[in-house]
Amino acid sequence: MIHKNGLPSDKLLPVLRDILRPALIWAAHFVLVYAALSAACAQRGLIDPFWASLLVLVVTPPAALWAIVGARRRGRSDFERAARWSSIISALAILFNAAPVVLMGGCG
Amino acid sequence: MTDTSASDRPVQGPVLHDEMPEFEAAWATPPGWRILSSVSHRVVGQRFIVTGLVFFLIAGFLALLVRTQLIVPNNTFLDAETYNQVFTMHGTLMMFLFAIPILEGFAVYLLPLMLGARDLIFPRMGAFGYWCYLFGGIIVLSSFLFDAAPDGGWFMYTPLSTSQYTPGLSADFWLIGITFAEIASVTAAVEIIAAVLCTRAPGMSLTRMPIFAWYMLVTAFMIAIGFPPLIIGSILLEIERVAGLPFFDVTAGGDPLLWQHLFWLFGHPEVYIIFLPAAGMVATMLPTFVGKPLFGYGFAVAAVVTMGFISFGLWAHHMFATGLPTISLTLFSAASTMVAIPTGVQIFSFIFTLAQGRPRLTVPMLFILGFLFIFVIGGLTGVMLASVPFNWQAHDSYFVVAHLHYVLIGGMVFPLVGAFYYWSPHFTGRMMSERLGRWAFWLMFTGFHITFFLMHLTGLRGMPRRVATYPEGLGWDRLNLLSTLGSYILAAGVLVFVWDFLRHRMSGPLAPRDPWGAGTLEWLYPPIAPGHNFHAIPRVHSREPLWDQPELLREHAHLAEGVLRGASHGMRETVGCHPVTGEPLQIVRLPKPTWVPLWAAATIAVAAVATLASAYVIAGAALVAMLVCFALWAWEPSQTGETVDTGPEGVLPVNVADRLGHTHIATIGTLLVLAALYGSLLFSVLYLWNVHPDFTTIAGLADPLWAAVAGGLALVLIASSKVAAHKGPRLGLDVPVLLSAVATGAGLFVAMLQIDPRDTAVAATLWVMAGFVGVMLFVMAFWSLFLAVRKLFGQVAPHHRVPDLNRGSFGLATGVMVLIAVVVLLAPHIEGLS
Amino acid sequence: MNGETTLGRFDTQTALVGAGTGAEMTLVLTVVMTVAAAVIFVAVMGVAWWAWRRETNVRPWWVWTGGVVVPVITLALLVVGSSLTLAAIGEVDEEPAVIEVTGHQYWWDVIHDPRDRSLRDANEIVLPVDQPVTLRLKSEDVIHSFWVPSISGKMDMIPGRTNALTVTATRIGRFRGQCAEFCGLSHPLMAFEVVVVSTENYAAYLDGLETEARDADTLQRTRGRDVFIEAGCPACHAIRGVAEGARIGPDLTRVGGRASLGAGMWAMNVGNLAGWIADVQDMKPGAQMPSYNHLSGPDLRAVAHYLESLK
Repeated sequence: MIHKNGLPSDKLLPVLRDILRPALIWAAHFVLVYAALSAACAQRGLIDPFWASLLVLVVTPPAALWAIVGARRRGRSDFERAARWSSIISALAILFNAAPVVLMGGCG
Repeated sequence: MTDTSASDRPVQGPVLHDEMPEFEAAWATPPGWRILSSVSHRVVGQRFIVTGLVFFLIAGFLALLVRTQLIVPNNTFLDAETYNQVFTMHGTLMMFLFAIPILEGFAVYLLPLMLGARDLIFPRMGAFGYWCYLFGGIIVLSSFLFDAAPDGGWFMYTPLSTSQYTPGLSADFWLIGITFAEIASVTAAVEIIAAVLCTRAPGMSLTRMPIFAWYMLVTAFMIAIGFPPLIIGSILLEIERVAGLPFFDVTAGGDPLLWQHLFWLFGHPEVYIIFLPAAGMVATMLPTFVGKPLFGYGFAVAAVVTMGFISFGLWAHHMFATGLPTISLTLFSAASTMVAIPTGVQIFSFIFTLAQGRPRLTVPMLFILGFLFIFVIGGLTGVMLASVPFNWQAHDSYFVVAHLHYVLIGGMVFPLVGAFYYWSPHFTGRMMSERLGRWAFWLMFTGFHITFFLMHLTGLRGMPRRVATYPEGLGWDRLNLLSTLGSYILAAGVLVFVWDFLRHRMSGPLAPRDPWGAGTLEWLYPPIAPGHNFHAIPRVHSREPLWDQPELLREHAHLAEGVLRGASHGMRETVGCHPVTGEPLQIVRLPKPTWVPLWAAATIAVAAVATLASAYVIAGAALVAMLVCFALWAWEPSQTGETVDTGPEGVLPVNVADRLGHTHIATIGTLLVLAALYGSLLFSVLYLWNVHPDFTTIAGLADPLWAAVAGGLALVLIASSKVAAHKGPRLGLDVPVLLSAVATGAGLFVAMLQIDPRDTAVAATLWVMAGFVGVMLFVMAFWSLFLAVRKLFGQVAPHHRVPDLNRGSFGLATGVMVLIAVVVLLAPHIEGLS
Repeated sequence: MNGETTLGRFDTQTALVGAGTGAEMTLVLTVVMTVAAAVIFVAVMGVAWWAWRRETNVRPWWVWTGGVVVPVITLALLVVGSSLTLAAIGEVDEEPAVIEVTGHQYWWDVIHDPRDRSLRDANEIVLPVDQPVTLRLKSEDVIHSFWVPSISGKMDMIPGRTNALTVTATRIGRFRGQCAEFCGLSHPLMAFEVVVVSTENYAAYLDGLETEARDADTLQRTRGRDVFIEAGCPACHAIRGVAEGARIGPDLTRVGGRASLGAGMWAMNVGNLAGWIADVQDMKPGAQMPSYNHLSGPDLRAVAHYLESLK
């Protein structure tokens, strides 16, 4: 049995990017959320908690969308599926990163 | 679908040893004691595995001591000090000297065989890593002989681990020995990255790569990013212990929680670093016994990649009770739950793979089922622990002990034992016993649950971890008694396995070719370890080449069609590929046996022991010797520009000077590690600055003028090393690189002189940051000097561009690090930030 | 507070019997999560069993459902549920009283109402029932963790920081707590008792902390008090009205009134007290106090009798 995994080699690199991009967006988003909360809620109190929350609320939807919208909706090869899954998992994780701001007010 | 039952496979005898005398002579393992100079991945991988197994047995014995002490309340079997040493060393050995190294050992052994490479891509680095691991492990263990075994827990929390509360050498043994052993993990990580990306069989694109290689690739990246925070933490703590700089001292603006952040920034990804290779083994073994490919290769790839990222966002869930703001707790709580998604995807991929065929219940399969059963429970309790209020009760109680053993024994030890049963024929040419294997499984499985399932309850009944004893009557007595009895059963199971492993080397039945009917390339040859791989490297059209390319098994393995048949001019070489498409790009020349890796590791060992003995002159001399070893290591004729006729793939160049070449990929991998080290330092500076604002004004500020000068010189460094990389090797181009590196370091040093590192934690951390940049600059200078000397000795032709190309990338990274340091040093001069 | 020991009494140090709002709410969460986890486990194993038995054409949406859809819903419920619980635990409807607890290797310093009256006690924490109390948790040396499973989850005591834990005890009784962060040689011997009393008894207890220690009213106790002073004990221990000021060791003004000795470890009685003074380093290795084994037998008994009388 020959697998349907023989994606043409010139398509491999774009698909690989599509696998990694959502995860990298998650990483950037996570660092941003952590930095905002740390800036607002540590002793130094660099920014007001309100602005930190607002920043997270404003940034999260586009980040999640970016992870999802760029996804490959088509393609039945395993590699393309991987890109699709990576974007779904990453987008969900991005949304969950915003949970503290949605569920808790201020620094708590 | 190919038929996969073992009995129907063509059985072959051993490879005749005079088939290709030149090839076999080139790859021969040195005889007798000279085998210590071998750098072959087969030898090095088996050394890692056997050494890891020995550490596992020692750590397991320590666990039995722990359980025996806790068998009854108020027990006096061990005194408190011994108990603390025993549980500290149990955790330390299991995490640092067993789990990671043994999995890396399997990767070192299996990856080249699965990928279609003749050896791991940097054989000497593999050997060097092994010696570092062995020497580091011996240093840690030797503390028992000096009655100075570490007793501060494997987590070494400050301030308990500072010299005030832990005088003597015990903590130093831990910090120095473990950091040394971690060099092995990090070098192996860089090597695995380069090996997976650069030495695959022709046609093995990323999407045709065996799933185990994906797991190891992600794991290697995680090690490269995840280990540096602990290395930095350990260096800071050792400096505080030896030189008194106040990184964690609250009276000088330090913070005990900084240690916890650094430790868990390593410690949490570590759990997944241990889980992923084991899951990769499951994903490799499972399809063999089902007779169908893994269901959802794409799912698994996505899950592994996203898990690699997400697992870095949960470190603080080990710190829920430290008084972090509730909003941060909620962030880490939510992020922690999310890692369950990629885990769940993998588990269901495994489960539904079962549904694709008629699975065979062999011993490895039993262990896989045990893994599924145990790991799912561990995953579910892990999700429970992500809940903050529940965590406040369960944290540091026996509930967590239960959880982590479900995850680690279920997620790693069970697959590992399965892997031993599965791949042993490779090591010995013989099969382990199905009967003893079943005994081992059922004893381990039963004993495990008796021991650890009850601990959930023990923990919720209020028993904290790490207690040497407990009063009777609190409702813990019977549970502990049963847990201890269970641990003996578990140990009996492990002993049956070890007995079988030792026994089968002599008396196990001879293994046929591809004994399990697997589809992956490592079973191409009959499992009588010939000491070399692939007389010719076959072109690969599928993920399971042995299933889908029947011609491979039709005749003797050494006659299989492929590229690069034999050894040209008696050299060791393998095919280097394009990282993505897997198409041949170059020929990679590999080294023959050499003692240099052993010497290099030995010099570091001497430096480590001398540091422990406060003999700093000897330590310094050993480090100079280390530099000499590295110079000897790198002093070899450059072979760029030669070509090799590979047969089917035509003529390929040797060691190309290209950004996709293997040494450049490894340079990038190394820079990733260095960037993570530097990032950990920057995190420390920012953290202390943010958490202790009162202390940031006390320390002096860096001299802005000299800092700016250093920044300017860094630009010169970047430019000169890039020009040298671009223009090719010329002696005249090495000089500006060398001079600008030295000058940059000098400028930075002068700028730093106004800051007294003893004043505050931030000042001390800034000094370490500058020191780190200084080491980078030293490497640049040393490298340039080395290249210049080579050119002076006429070793270099104009097309030998590889070293200069790599130095160009390294120089760019070094320059950027200097510029970041300059920004950090200049920032306090801006109004309002200090 | 009668002298009956609670050491070794089943169910005084368990998270499975709630006696405080935090522990009670967490217990509900624990039960719900455990049941859910058990159901999920059985379901997953059921699917695995089915997959083992059946040979069939697998569809990707199965993985999608089992690996993503169901978990995301469950996890969202979990995050919301535990965040609501977290918020509810922190909620109080009246101004909490304040008690400062400082961890030492290996005992607990307690100050009631630190802002105004600053009343010191040690190794036993008396709480009023049904009244919120904020525990201000500190450490003098290494990291400890304050954990009374029946009353609330744990909170670390970290040098240089003050962590606040607000608890409301809901049941009168005695509950055992223990240090939950590894803190050195005698970490397992660093326990304490929480005594939950009625509001009136709490007020009376606080008043009691303002008065001087009970007089030495027998010859032996007087001798004991003198030995206490001559042996140098006041360098570390305070007894109000007898020797004040020292804060290195536990306050002993009402040591005989505590149910246990050695930070929640041994029953309080003359025999154990004498043994303790003569042999601290044996009973609690690594403690700051040296063993006073050079005291003569009669002196030792006298001190023990004196301390036991301080209630």
